[in-house]
Amino acid sequence: MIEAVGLTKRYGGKTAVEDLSFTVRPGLVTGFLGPNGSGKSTTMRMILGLDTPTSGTVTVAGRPFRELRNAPRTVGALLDAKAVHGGRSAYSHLLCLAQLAGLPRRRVDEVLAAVGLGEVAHKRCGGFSLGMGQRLGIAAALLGDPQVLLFDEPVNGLDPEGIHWVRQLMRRLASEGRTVFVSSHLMSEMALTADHLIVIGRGQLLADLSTRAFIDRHSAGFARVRTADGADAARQRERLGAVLRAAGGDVVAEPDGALRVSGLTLPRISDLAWEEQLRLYELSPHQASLEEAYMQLTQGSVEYRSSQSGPAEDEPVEVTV
Amino acid sequence: MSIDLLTDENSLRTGEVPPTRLGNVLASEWTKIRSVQSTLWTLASMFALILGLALIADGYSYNRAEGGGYLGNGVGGFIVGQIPVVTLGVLVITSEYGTGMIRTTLTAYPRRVSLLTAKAMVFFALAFVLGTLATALQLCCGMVILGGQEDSPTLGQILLAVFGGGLYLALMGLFALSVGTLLRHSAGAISVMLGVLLLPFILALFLPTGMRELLLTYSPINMSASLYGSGTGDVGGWALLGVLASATAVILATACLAMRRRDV
Repeated sequence: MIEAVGLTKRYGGKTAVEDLSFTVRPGLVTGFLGPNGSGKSTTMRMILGLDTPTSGTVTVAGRPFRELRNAPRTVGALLDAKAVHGGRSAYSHLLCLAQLAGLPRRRVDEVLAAVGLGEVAHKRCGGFSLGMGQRLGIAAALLGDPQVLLFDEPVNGLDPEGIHWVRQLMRRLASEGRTVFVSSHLMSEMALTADHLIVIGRGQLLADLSTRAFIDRHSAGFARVRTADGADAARQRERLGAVLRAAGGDVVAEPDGALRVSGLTLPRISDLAWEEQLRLYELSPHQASLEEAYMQLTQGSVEYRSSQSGPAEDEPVEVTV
Repeated sequence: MSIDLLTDENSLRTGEVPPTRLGNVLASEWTKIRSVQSTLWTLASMFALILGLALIADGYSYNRAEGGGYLGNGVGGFIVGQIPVVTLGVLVITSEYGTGMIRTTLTAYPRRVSLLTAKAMVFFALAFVLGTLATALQLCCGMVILGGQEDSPTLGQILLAVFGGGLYLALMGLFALSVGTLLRHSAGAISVMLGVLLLPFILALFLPTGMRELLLTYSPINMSASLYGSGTGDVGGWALLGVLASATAVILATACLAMRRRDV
């Protein structure tokens, strides 16, 4: 459980995070989304007691981080994979962290094996690839078998196999009842991994809702409709457009001559075309990309000051296809 | 790739989590300092300089009437030999800032003053033991080479050179560690420390007599020379060590305060 209340951080005159309040619950993967520079890392650092908030508080497992009795046994964090001394071996790196928490040496071997670094345990970690560095960071986070885990952009620069591995790992950790808080600037990644989303832009909360609700709200479906080719194709298209608009659909012409229709089901579009005696060469369902919806949400972050669930005027037309 | 977190049957016993103690941090810092190459290289350089320069001087004095005794022959190596110790003191903390390791460390152990204390204790112990060993070996070599040739120094003089020398090296290194904590930058902190070691002596040459005496007496170079019985001024070696210890305590306390207040 992570609880932030009115979290604010200013650097001189610049506000990095403003009045941020949220709760990260156990048993779920909570995605922390925002564009680069939106304050995700600053928030993560405040949760971990590295930066002191200008105002507001944040607690982990009920206590401010810096007051935890044995931090690694409560919280594991991957901030950035490069936060290691390159001259030290992976084993020594993990050993010095394990000793801080009073953990036995064999726990180091256990986590090294768990992340698949057993064979390079005694190599200098300065020579590690990005993926190996990320695995080492994850091994460090798992050392104390903590109930709360924070990952800052864990899939950055990983290959598909590595991304799959991290995704599975986070789902597994959450299914064991742990609190998993993962930041990312990729909506598509979070749509696959996270159960719950906290979206920020310019340091302010934009949305705090379940991934399901976000998808339902922001990924409007639409249909692509194309009338028969031929001499009067343009006229047929106009007739169909008029009919569909009259029936309550939202129609936009696409560059390739098809129509993009939302607000009507596919059978309804087919029926209306049939009644109008228009032949259709294409009638296909489509999903608007979540990435687009997310970009709209975060780009508008200046105008929509303290909106809890995203800009209301961007509400897409509901459509069932 | 399977994910085996070993949460059911791992080496961690469930139940009450023990709070971290100073012993844990000391063990961790000991692992850190012995698992990087810079420790080996700086300490090896210290031995090479302290012993090597003294041996050259002793060799020169062998069977010659002129030239200093073996105590005085040690000063040059001791003065130059403190540069690698100071470098190690700086690197112990700035390498954490330079690599980002400090964020990992403080995430695993958020009590910063206690962390810095442990770092200081581990470094101080290592520098004192090896520094004392270096000065002891230096004098032993001198004794063997020049033993029958000159009047032996008193026991007090030898103790001051050996243990005072080790203490001086450890204190100066700790001073450097504090400067490194304040500046968080390897090259910057090493430059400042070279200034601390050398500038007072050089500046003293260009100052009016009264200030020159003062600056000269308390300059690190004169402190070093005083430990070997060849300093100027009328303050003794142990008293000068007291001054250095006080200055180190002040700057270490400042470093602790800064560490506690600052964002990482």
